[in-house]
Amino acid sequence: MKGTGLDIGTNMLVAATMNADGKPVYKKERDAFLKLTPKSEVNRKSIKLALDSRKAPYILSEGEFIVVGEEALMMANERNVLAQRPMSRGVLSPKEKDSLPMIRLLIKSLVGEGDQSKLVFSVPATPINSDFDIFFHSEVIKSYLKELGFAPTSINEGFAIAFSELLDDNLTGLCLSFGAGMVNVTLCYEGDPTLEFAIPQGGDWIDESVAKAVDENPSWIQIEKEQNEMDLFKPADKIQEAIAIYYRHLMEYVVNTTIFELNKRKLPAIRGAMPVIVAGGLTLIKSFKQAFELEIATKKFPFKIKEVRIANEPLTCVAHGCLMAVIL
Amino acid sequence: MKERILYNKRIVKEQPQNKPSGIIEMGPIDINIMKHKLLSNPEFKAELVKELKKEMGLLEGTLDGIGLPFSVVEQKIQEAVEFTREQEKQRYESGILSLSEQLKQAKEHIKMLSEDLINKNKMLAEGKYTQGTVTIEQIKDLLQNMLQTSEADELRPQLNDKVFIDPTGGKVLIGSEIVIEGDISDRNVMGDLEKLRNLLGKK
Repeated sequence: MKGTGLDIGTNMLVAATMNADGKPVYKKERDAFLKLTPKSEVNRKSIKLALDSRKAPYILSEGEFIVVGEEALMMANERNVLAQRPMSRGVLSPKEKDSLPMIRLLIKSLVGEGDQSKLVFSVPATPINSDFDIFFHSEVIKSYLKELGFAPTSINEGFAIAFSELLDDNLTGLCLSFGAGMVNVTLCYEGDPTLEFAIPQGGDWIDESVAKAVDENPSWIQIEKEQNEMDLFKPADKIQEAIAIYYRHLMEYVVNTTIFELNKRKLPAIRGAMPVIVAGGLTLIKSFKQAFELEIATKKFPFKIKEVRIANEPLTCVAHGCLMAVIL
Repeated sequence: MKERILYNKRIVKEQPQNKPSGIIEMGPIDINIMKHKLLSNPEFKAELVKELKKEMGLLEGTLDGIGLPFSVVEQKIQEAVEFTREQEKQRYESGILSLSEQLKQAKEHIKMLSEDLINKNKMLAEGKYTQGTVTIEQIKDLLQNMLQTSEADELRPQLNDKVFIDPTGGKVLIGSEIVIEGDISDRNVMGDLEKLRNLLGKK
């Protein structure tokens, strides 16, 4: 079956397709890049040698080496500089126009060129308390995908999670995607996304807050958070303690905001208890589920909570949901 | 001569008694009488015409101030008249064309409205509008209610301010492409798809 699902996240881009055996294939790339400008011809040769030897993916553009993905983040840390990211808080920004060609390049690297085949990509919901331009974001992505020869349509990120994770729950549940840029929340009731909104804080907010508190580089905090098998209930040092504190603050804010938004809207008469699905890079940290359950247990939702479930594949479930929407 | 004497007599007669002697005050001059007298004199008249022509610079058939012969001036005037006439003609024709176009459009509109009216009459005659119990007054009330409760938002004019302009101007990075390897998952897509179709088919 032809078709591509594409999750466009602040920190990660994930493409989902099906191979000849009917198995899903996911391609992932870190949504980051680092520009290296050679100061001389000798410097140019040495940079090239270093990049080739560590097998870093890079391109040459107007005399600059542009390292992309995970390696960009690693090299930025080694040099104590910040890696650049085309997206911030879940969306592309018109102000970051220098970064925009990078997202185009990364998307092309993931999905290749289409022959007018269908592609569904994820978009965040309208954020609360913020004037982010979701329209600009989705139009830029749509425009790039059309240029690549696809017939693109968009789907809400939380609804994509429902397509991936609520198939045994009558498409009914509360889906939360904890991303780097924002937390997307969707209440899906019998296949109908009755409530969608985004909270414009996420992993980047944790990194920046911790970096400020301990006077470190946010990129370093991100690596510490993702690669050191950190446990939210057992922080090993001061940095991890700070990370755990801000994680709990974010969880509390998300739960309180979700309850506030649910109470504000006219909801369908919900019978029975609802599952809560959590997905996204932030849920990969050890004890996330238990910490979130604790947070929920102390709050009053307008419906009963059946369970908290981490998505089967938290990093790829949005792309998978998009793929399901394509081949449906 | 008789008039002159009478005039002098009148002057003498009207001389105020308290004026110093030797000063004769002139009475009011009748301009019309004076003009008539002067113009009835052929020599004076010829001299006057000559003086006036000189004043106007029209001697010897030329415009001294401009230095153009009369024939050229006359031609220029003719050309100006012709140009103005042509302009007026064009403006008139353009106006007529515009009015004609407006008339044509109005006729088409009337035709459309007439057809609509015929159809509506036909529907009324067939009883399609009167099948329910809803009256015009009730529809009015309903519309009023919709407007008041903002249910008719989609009926209001909308300003489309969402215009996407690619700020990069389509700038594409040139360079070797990045190759990204994919990971194969064991998820049962076809099984999931079957479930999803069943769920959405239920709705």
